[in-house]
Amino acid sequence: MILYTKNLVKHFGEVKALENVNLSLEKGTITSIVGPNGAGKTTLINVISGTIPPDKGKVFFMNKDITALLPYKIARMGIGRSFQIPAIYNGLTVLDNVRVAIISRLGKANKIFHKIDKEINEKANEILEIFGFLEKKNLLAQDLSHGDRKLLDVAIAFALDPKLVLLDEPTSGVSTSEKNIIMNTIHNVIKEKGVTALIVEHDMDIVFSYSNKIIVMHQGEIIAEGKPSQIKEDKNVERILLGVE
Amino acid sequence: MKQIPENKIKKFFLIISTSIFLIIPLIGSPYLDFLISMALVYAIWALGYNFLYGYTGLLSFGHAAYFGIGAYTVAFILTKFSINSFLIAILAAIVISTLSGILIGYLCVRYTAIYFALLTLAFAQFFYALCFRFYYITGGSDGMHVSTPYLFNFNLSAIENPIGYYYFTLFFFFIAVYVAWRIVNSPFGKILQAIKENTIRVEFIGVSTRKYKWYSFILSTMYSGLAGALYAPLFGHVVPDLFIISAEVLFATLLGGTTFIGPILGSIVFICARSYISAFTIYWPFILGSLIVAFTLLFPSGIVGTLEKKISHILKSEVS
Repeated sequence: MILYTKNLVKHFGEVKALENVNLSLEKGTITSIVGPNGAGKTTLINVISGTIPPDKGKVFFMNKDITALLPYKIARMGIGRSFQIPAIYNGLTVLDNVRVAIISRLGKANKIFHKIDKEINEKANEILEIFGFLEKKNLLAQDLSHGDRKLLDVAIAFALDPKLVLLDEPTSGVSTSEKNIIMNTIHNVIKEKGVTALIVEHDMDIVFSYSNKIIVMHQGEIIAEGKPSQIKEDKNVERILLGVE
Repeated sequence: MKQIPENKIKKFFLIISTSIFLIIPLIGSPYLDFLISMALVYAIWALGYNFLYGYTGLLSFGHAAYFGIGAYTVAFILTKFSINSFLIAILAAIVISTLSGILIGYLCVRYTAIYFALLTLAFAQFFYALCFRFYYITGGSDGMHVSTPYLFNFNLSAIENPIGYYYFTLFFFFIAVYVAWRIVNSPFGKILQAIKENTIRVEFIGVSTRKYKWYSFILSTMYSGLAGALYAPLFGHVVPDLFIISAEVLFATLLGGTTFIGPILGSIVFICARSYISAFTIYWPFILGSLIVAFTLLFPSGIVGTLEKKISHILKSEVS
């Protein structure tokens, strides 16, 4: 197991965002979290990535307790993440968006009088090629389409060469045709690099197509988990996700 | 039509501007030497300020504090301690202003946006009050006279040897520009730019943004200290008001724009405009202030930013 949580609890006032969440991720697998709005999916990702601390419970990554560590410390341990609203550097070029992550990963952020060297550029170009950004590398990130902005956010996460990526709705707000392009790219990178992925996603077709395991959340609790075929046949899950009585 | 490579255009402007700076004293106007020396001092200050504001996105209302510390340190060393070596005085000014920046920056970068800005302002006011109250050391509101500095045995009085002082300031200006250029284009510089664009994202790529904001703060105070050190003998007198002129460096930066050369051009325009407008009327702060407000509203990206947009617009329309 690369990551597991123990009885995670997070309340926002009366709202139970997480209620005794126990989750485990096998190395090299893609796990999707699904559930209606307000189920606690994003909160779970935020707690794992250090964005917010849990009220109770623990998060373990590679058998180390990472509960409530600062985000930059968690990122340095090998957890990359993307955001629902793309978190990119709008005023920088696509190349620089990726280069900044590479600089951090290579431990060169303190190089104050050095030029941006060949190693940084080569590794940045590798990532740009994988995500299909080579031709757009000199564009400002703000000039990209919404789909490209989402993909660039994911590319930044992968530029860290992470062991685990947390992707928060990587295809939300993207046209159906673009969704598959984005997911195919992400899927290929994950498989090629042997990365473990935890994905929050609303599109059930995508979830069933790309996941090894699906976790269903409702009102802060995990109500079901299993292989896509098991989840497909679960009547309780169908009732909650589709609102069928 | 064959396009001229961007690098060649940059090199051409670099050679032209360097040549202009080098030949200014040949015009033979001591006042012009003084004026451009002052503009260079402000340019060094604004270059440093731009690390913090232009590249890291932190608005400080208190960078006059480090300018003042630099100026007073030189005044103390040259006048009170009777050490006439300008290099020693400058070194001491940089060290003391940087040490202040290390301490104050450490506290300030814990806050963001307006809280950060107000805290920097509060520290500048603190130094102003300190300087004002300890009149038996600092001369209070009368300030302190600054004795003639020497470079080895070479008289560097800005009045007796304005050309010498000009070239001395120009030398430090060139160093400041070169160092700033290296920093801005380094991996460290890219991290600062990323922090300005999206601080939260930078945390999630494994960088402690607070630490890098602090480094940026320290760098800017180092430049401010150097600028203050060069200002003191140029003006010949230091007063507590030096601690409360933070708006001037902000104006100069905004005027030029937060690009690399924006603060340099902004400083030259600001100092020249102030000098010429004040020669016509005693109400010059009102006129200068109004002009700056109007300019900031009409051209929010500053002189350089506006020119860049116009040029790129022309180039795009030519291509299409």
